[in-house]
Amino acid sequence: MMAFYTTDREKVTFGEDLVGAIISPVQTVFTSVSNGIGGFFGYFGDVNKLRTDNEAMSVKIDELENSVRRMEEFKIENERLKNMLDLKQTALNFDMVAAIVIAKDPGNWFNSFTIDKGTADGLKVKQAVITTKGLVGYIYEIGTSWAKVYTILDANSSVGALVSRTRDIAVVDGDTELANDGFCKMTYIAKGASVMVGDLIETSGLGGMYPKGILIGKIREIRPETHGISQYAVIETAVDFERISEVFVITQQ
Amino acid sequence: MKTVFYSILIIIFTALQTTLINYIGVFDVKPNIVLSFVVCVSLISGALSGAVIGVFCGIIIDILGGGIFGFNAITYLYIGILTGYICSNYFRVNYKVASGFVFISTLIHLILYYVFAFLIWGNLNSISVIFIKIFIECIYSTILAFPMYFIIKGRVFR
Repeated sequence: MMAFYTTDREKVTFGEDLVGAIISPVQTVFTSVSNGIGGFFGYFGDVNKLRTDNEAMSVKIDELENSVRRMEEFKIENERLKNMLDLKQTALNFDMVAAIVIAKDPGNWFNSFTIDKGTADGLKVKQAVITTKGLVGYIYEIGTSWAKVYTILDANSSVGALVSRTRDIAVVDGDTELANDGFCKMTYIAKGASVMVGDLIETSGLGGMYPKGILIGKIREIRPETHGISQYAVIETAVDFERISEVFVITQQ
Repeated sequence: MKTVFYSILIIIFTALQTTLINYIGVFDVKPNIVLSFVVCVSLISGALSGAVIGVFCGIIIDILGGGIFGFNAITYLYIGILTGYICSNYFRVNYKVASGFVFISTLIHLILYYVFAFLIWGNLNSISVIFIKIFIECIYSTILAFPMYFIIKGRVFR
């Protein structure tokens, strides 16, 4: 029986679905309570921090407005050059379903969580999950009204990746040790690749599970492998998995 | 009445394990209150009750979480049986015995999980982190077993 459950399944059994359907409303209540308590105490603890953050963000907004103006100029020039070369336009366009995180993995070994949508909402196994910040993971098990998501921090996760600046291909894997700090590991970096700290990493679209162009994170550090022959990069994810509460499931590209 | 009480506790503890418990983690390690519950029930109500509670809790945890399906059901079942059998033959039940059994049960469960989830697949890169997590989880679960033992004992024997 255990061997049966290790295979890929489109949907869980009736028993699993029933258990999930009974437990998930209780989980939703407990999560709402904990969010409420956290928000109440956070109000008192965060006032000074909010004031400081507000001032920093005002400065940042000014810088970003200048960047937007420069980007608009580049965009106009880009359009003009594309028209000259008669290139087709491609755009990131997804059909998405919004979902709330209602529970997290009960153990300390896996980085997964449960959302409050399932097959009744048009979701399927292996659909990608994102937030407005970037890539979260994929659905690995699904019921009628709930679904379980493996995050990219999980040791089972492997994502085809692309360095935005250099267009070098690599793979971003979850790592048990790095997951504690919210980081991933980028491996299979080509020997001649000139990656550096700060480079943005996005999905490459290879493998078919994740659409191309979704932000994964940025390179935080480059370290030698334990065997010393090659290197790997530590990726700081764009998504804050500690505070994740709302996600979007990509149902169609 | 005891059956209804335990059934409600199963739902509450398994739901808590996936929600509120995440907010009280120490060094990102959360305690296993479900396993503590199984051990306490086994000590107070006997091996059979411990086994039944263990199987149901284990199956629910397997459904709610990731990893090998059925592993928690089997380990919780055997922990329930062995705890009840050993305690009824060799120990007199009190809170110290309960805490000792919770610590040992959690340790055995986590070591077995490490072996089947990491070691046999050759994943040895994070061995130090994993054993630190195991140690913290054992200690934390043992601390939370104290109030759980008194609550269950007080309610069952009232």
